Formats: sequence, structure tokens, C-alpha cells
Amino acid sequence: MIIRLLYLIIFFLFLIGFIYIYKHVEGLPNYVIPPLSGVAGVLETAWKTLLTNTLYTFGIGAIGHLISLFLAISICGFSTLGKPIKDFVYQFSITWQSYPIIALAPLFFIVFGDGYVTRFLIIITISYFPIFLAIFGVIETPLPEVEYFYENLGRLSGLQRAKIRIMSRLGTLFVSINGAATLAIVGTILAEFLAAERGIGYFIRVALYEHRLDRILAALLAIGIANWLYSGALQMFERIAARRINVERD
Amino acid sequence: MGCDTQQIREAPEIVCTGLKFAYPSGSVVFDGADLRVGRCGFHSIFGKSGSGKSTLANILTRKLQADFDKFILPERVLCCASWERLPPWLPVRDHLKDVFGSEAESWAAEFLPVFALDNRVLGKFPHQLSTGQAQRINLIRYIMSKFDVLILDEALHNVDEPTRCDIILFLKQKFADRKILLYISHDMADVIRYSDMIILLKQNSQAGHFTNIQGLNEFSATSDKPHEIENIRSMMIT
Repeated sequence: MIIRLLYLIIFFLFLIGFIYIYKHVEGLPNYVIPPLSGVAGVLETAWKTLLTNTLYTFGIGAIGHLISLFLAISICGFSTLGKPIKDFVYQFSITWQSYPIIALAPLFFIVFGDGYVTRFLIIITISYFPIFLAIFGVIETPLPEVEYFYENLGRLSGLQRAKIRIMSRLGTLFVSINGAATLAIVGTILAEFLAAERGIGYFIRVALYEHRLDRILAALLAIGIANWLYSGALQMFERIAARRINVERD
Repeated sequence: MGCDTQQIREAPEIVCTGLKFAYPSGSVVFDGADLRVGRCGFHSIFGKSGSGKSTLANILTRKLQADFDKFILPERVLCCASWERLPPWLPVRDHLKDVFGSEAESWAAEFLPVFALDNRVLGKFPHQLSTGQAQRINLIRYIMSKFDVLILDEALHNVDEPTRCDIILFLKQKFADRKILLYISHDMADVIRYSDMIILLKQNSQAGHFTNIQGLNEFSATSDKPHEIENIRSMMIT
């Protein structure tokens, strides 16, 4: 957790350093890239707006992440019913994923408007696939040393097989689920950029139109800190769950 | 894979004639071998590494498809293997309850003392057990299951000798009069000491064939029987 914070600070210093070195080398004026004191000023005056927008974005992102997780588990469970279904589900997911979100997002926006449906569709399109692939991969990889007993007893149904493989490799799944959490947040910010009137993505969009780099940098810092806290919370949850259900780490 | 005759019978008896099996790689394991286990008891399948003992176990448990002229096999053939693992996400007690129902705990408790285990192991997760403990729990869950033939494929490989002796004698006492127990082991002393019949798997130039050595059960468990060991060793070589 501390290491991740350290890397966040290093990354942010690197970003700021790059921007201000570039400003200095190119001789850009203050109205293009405001001085660092401007970022500090935004943090001081607009911290409440930043905080509420960030919390709102991460709340939506977390819900989208959960929907993606639920969807991936359900679809993978459904795919255990037979090989034709499994092949269809896999190919359909691959095809869906092959379209870049930036190409699909306007379609969602035009059809569903700028409400929650559009935002969740964008989040799911981004974060569902890694979770689906992780669960699908786990279900498809045999675990003969545990399955053998059930097979001997004639109790190894498709669902039982999936349960054994998922429960035995929860450690691997947690890594993918945590990774997808970051993607869900990315999806939320992107969705807010297009189809929202609240959230940190919307805040950045307004700042972009106003050409306020100081506000954009302050928003990036807020996203970094919130992401760090969110990942930390997920890791803590993973650790508690691992202790409780004896997760094996691969 | 074709078969001429396949019958499933209630009485524990294994008859397999003209057994042929080759792996997809082309490696021939059996080419017309005959196997007959005509009575209940504690029998051993013995042979050198790679002679096809585990392959035979997989054929008998129908996990591998082989060709044969005649195949008579009881319905419930189980194989307890040394490499198996208990479900890692459940304590032993919960796993047994999951498979055998609410009575599983008291049922398992009956076997624990013989297997040199105490009740505390039931509350443990598999990763908290030693390899030997996990192997014994694995065997317990098999003997709690319904079976006509139980193959023990190196199932007590990591268990110390006195405990192994107790377990084998217990299995003989409890099941040998009405079930077929097939013990696969590399321990020649164990095989000779406890077996009612030894099925010796020999590799000739082509593929494995079986030689049944019967009438060894009159030897007591304490005798070391060096001459029998020599006999079997020489039979494996010739």
C-alpha cells in the first residue's frame, strides 16, 4: 500500500516535471500552462467539488465493476451448460471486445442519451472482458488432483467442475478482478466525459473547454489518490477473503 | 476402441482377457494381457516403474478406454491416488459433509484413530495438514464411499510404516471379505506381507502381461520372508 503511494507520488512528480520542463523549453505563457501555485490554488479553493465529484465517479465505477463481475460470472456459468454455448459465448465476447470503446461510446450515447445506462454500458465494455477471460480461463483449465475424487464418485457435473476450478484458484481471479477495477474507473471517467453532468470526468471536460490545466492536474491528483485508496480497499478485502476461505495463490 | 464383451456384475470379480492398450504416442502398454481377480481380498498390483500399474488402474476405473476380448468388472470401482488433493477452500469437516451429508463427521471419526489422526484434523484446511495426513484423509473419504473395488494407487506413499501397517490391517479386516482391494505400491515388503494375491506386472519385449501369484496370505505379518522377495524379484526379471 505504502509502495503504491510512493509510486503515485513519483509518477505525479514525473508528470508535473515533464509539463513544466516543456513549458520552460518552449517558453509557453502562463495562460497555457499556469504556474504550480495555480494547481495548489485549485486544490485549496475547489477541494470540496473535487472530493464530491471523485467520490461520485468512484461510486459509479464500483457499481459498474460489480455489474461486470456479476455478468462475467453469470455468462461463464451459462457457458458450462454445453460446448456450443461455450463457443458462442467466447466468440461473442471476443467480437464485442474487438471494437474499441471509443468507437462504441458514441453509439451508446446516441441510443441511450447521457444517463446511467450509457455510462454503465461503457464501464462494462471496458471492465467485463478481463474478468470474463480470467474466469473463463480458470473454468477451462483442468484441476485433476481435486476433480479426480468427484469423477470417481460420478459427481462431476459441469457446474461442480466449474465450482472446483473457481474456488481452487480464487487467488488468480482476485488479481484479475482487482485489475478490472482500475479499468472500470477508466471507463467511468471516459463515460462522464461523454455522457454525464457530474463526476470527475465531467469536471475534466469542463476544465478542458475552459482551458484550465491547473484544474485538470488537480483532478488527476484526486483520481490518483482515490484510485490508490480504492485499490487498497480491494486488496484488503482480498486479504480478508483469502484468510477466510483459504485462497491459494498461483 | 472396440470391445467384444462388457458386463457389469454385482459380485466383486474382475476378469479381463485380451487387454490391449496403447497411448496416443504409440507407446504400447498392454498387448493381449489377461487379468483375473476372482475373489474378494487385499491384493497387490506390483511391477517396475513404467510397467503400467497406474494405466491399469485407469482402465479399471474406466478413465482410459482399452480394447479387450472379455471384460467383467463390478459397477463401483474407485481409485484412491497419492497425487490427489482435498478441496483447498474447505476445512476437512465441511468437505466430508458436502460429499457425505451431515452424518459424515461421526462417520469419519470412527476411522480417525486407526489412521493415527485426531478429531482436530477435521477442523483444518488442507494446507494445514501434512502430506501424510492429507493422504490419510483422502483414503478415509474413499472408504466412506460405496465401492466394490478400491484401488490404492500409492495411496499410503507418505505414511510412516507402523501407521501404514495399522491401516492396511484395518482395511483387510473391514473390507477384504466382501470387497476387492487392489494395492499398488513399490514397497515389496508391504506387498508380500499383506497381499492375498499379487498381480505381477511384467514388461516383455512387446508389452506388459500379468502373472498372478496366489497363496501368500498364509504368511504372518511379522515374517520378513526373504525367499519370497527373491522369488518375486526373479519373476520380475525373467
